[in-house]
Amino acid sequence: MRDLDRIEEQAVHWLMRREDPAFSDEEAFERWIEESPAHKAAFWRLEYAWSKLDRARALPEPAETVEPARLRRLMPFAVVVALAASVVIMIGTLNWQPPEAVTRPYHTAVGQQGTFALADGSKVELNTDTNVRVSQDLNRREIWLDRGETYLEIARDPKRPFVVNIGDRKVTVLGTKFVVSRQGDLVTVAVVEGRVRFDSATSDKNHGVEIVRGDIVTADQESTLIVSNALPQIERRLRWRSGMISLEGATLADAVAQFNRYHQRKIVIRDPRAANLRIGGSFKIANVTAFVRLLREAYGLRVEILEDEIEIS
Amino acid sequence: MRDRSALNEWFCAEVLPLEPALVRLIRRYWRSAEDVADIRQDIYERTLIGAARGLPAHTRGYVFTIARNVMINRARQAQVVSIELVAELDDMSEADLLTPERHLEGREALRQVDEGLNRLPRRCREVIRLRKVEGLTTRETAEKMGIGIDAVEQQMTYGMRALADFLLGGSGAIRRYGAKRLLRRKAGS
Repeated sequence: MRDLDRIEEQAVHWLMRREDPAFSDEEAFERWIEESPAHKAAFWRLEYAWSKLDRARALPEPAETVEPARLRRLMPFAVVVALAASVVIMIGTLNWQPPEAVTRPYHTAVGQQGTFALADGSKVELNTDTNVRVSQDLNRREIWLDRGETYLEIARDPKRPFVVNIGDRKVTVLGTKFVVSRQGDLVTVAVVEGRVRFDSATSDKNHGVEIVRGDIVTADQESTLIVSNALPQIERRLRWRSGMISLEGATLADAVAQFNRYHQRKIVIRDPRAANLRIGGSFKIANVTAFVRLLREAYGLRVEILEDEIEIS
Repeated sequence: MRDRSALNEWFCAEVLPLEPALVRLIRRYWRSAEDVADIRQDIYERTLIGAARGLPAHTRGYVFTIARNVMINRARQAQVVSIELVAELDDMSEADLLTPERHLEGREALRQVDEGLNRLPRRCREVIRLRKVEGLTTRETAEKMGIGIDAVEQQMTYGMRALADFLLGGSGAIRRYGAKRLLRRKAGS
């Protein structure tokens, strides 16, 4: 039997069993549904259809009439269901927890980008393969960048500084436009407008470095480097917001690393000499074919498109 | 537990409405109903894996990206790999995943459910009616219809699947298990 058939059969089985007011095997159901996202997908889909049936008009009955005995049977069900419902409510109350600041995670897949707004009107743009967590309450606004790259336009709120946590560094802003990216330990912050304070996560107020419009900060475990007056560079960095990669004097290795962030099928450079070639230009992120075709035609490189990677030599 | 119900809500509110467009897209390249269902399930599985780490900012784009990757991988694994197919999938854009269908309300929703039920074979429909409308247990349904419990469960599965397929935007054709299993059933019941 196909996997899907088996899973859907199990899903219907659980669906029906849980309809029974006397059902008491919730733990077993939890184990089954938590076993795999495949179980969740199948179950929730069928549950959705099942719940739609509540809207069905009385279905036409078959020729025979319903026996009186059956009608009597339905009554006890009603009572049992009501009792079960009230028990559930009680348990819910006992477990009630005080509300806390909600931390919401957001995530983009490889090759995907997304934008969302915060309650204060700030805008968060996520680039490829990015994970962030957002938390806001009356006193603070906070984002954790766990992976990837995000461009932020933060609404001014002097009462609530906005903090971006990246590993063991943090960026504190009042209101400004900037981009933060993270690849493992390497953190980069570039300011488009306004000013931000960049320091280590554990320090308090007035330490760290203040950087302004046109500055790029790059930091890893040991060192921090600041480049100033780099607006053209910053602008090029942000071309992903319009679906482009912009390169100027970058090595082929760098260019390929950029492309690979956005695609499952990675480009691999087999020839070390090719890796050091300098290339420039703007490329559509989605169009890897055009990029490798250019490499072949303009630089005479050999391009081999395989099942799960593209080789350049 | 709390996490799962948020995931459940999100899945039903934002992912399932995409199914009609998703299935139309898959059908462009795969004809067999089984393949379409497998691929759809694969896409949902990966969607949930990713969403468990964090709900996506844009569900439509997120599901589309996953769908594209799944289809490209499938195309490449096929016995005869069509280069054109892979290239075409490569060039797909989010516009190919059309806007989610309008959410049906009131009378339209009722009519849709009715139609879904009417498309079911008589037996499937009867089993579902007895379980849902009359509230019979599986055993009671089996007794009333004079068939085995296994058969009731099987009819429920076929019926609910077809209904889900139809309500979520497919054709609602009954997908049966492989022939081997049917033969075994006939011998047993």
